[in-house]
Amino acid sequence: MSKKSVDTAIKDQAVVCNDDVVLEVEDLVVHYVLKKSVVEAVNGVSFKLKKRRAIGLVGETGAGKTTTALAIMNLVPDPPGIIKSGNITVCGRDMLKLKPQQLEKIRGKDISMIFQDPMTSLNPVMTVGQQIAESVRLHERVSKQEAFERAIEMLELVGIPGERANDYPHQFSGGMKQRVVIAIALACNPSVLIADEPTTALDVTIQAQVLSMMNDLKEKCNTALVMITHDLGVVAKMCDDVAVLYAGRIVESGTLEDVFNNTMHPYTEGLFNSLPNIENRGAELKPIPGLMPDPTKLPAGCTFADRCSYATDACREKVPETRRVSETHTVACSRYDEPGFRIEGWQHG
Amino acid sequence: MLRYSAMRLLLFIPIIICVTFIIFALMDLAPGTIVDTMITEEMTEEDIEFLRSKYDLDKPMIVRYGKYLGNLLRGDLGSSQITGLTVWSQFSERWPNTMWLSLFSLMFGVALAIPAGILAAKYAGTIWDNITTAIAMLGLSMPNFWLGLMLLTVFSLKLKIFPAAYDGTWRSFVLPVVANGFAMIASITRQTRSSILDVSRQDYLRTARAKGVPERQVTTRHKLGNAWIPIITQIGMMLGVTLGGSAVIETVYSWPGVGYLMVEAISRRDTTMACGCVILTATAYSLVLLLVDLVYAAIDPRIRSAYARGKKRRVKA
Repeated sequence: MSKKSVDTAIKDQAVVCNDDVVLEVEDLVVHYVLKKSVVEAVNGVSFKLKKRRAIGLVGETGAGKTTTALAIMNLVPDPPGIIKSGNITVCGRDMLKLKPQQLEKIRGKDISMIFQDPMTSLNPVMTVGQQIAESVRLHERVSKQEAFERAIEMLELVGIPGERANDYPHQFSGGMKQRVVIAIALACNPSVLIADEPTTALDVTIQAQVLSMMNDLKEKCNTALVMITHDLGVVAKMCDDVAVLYAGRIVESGTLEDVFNNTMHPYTEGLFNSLPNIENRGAELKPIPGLMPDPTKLPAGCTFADRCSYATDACREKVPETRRVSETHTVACSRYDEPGFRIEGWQHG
Repeated sequence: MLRYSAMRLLLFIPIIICVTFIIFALMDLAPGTIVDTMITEEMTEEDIEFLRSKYDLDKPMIVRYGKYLGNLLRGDLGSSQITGLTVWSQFSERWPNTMWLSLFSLMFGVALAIPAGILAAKYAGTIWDNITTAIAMLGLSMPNFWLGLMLLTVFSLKLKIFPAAYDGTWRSFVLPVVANGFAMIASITRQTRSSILDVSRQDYLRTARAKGVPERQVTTRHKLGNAWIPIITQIGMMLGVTLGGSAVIETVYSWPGVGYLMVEAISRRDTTMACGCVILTATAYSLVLLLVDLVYAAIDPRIRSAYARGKKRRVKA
């Protein structure tokens, strides 16, 4: 396909972008095919993200959060990763059906991503200014000079003095590097920003700063946010909606209110119970027993059953269906087949 | 940076003193003297004594060394004790031969090693990777004089395709260049392979892709931009090594280079010549290494700022 027709193809599709939903993931399945086994990393994840909203993808290490994020960018390392099925729509464009050239035009422009470890996600031999300007130059028709000026503006936006644009990554601290990474991601004003554990590698005081800065920028730039984290506190601070991932499936999703205050899934309950209680510091933590199942040998039926205190034999036989309990709230637990089933911590009437 | 270079050059003075002292001591300890190589049957005891005092052999080694250093400080490398020609004239006559041999060997090595390394990295874990690894191991473990002799036997004596010694034509370059370059191929291939593989795993490539950098630019700008830093170092080191250490290959091929000159001088106990050659070779070697360091700093900002930081600290102190 010639360059011109790529441009028009994108323009044709871009009309749909006015729609309220900027990101839609439908029934995403991603596997990593290794020599002797298949890692079933993501097994049917679906969610929608509307303009200016923020969704938190929560889960333990290995729940498939990062793989989901990479799949949205269509950046799953291949080999060994394979997107088996599913649809991913970013601003009305199907990310999984686009040609590489078309994808390159969307990445960084309509959707961009912040990675977990700021220490390694910047190129050590390019100045931070160059790295931000590179993104601007790729997506906008500007001169080198203008792109660099934009880079300086972006640095100032994330709280780094503009004159540091000519410095190299090793001259910045971890928190500053993450700010640079954020500046790169936001340089072209994307509709969707995926933040993959953006504060995990930072210490707590810096975490708070970076998060509140991200919150401000999200408002300022009208960006929708996918916040990937294992930290429920971060979700509470940043997000409007929450999806809880377990072994590559969404076990519970809803608004912050739905999931935090009307928790329905036993796994979500377990996550909350393993957090320290600030009102009762003496209270014992109740960690979820056991480990997440080996993603190369996922059990039949509910993958959480082996760690679940509510599990019955029926749970181990059938994969729980996602049931809608309210306009916004869904849960995937077979025990709700029984009328009147409630988890212990149920607080709703 | 200038300060750093100056420091490096200053550091060179003690190195020269050590090296020349070691040579003097070794030449003195080695059995036989320069006079022994000149004695003929007609010479009387007095003649021999005269010769010995002419070369100061009747004085302690340290006196001779002091005299040599004194001359050296005035910039006088002295003359060959056998031919009487100045060290400098001999060296400058032979030096181009060694330099060309080294450069061609390096070019030969790099031209084969870098594509081989890229290939091995691209197909890591496959048969191509294993083949290049095997060749590299072969090159690494095979002594270059042995390879030199084998090439000489096959291509020069048996097949008579290439001359056995230097005759001024390009044909005489072929065998020594191959023999010399083969060991380099091994280490540069391995370095290229591992640094490309190492860089390919880096997170910043993912960052680049996530901001929409086309794959070709990811490779040229982000991947190679980082991968060639260790490769350059390896090449620079190899150049240094062949400039100084081609004595073996030069001897095998009777190559009129500095290495051969040095070996001849040592075997004839021509201390001034041997010392002079060592000093000049060592100088060339250090200059090359310094140049490599400067190139290194030019392409890697982390190294650059390490120099700058060292400078700042010195200013504060």
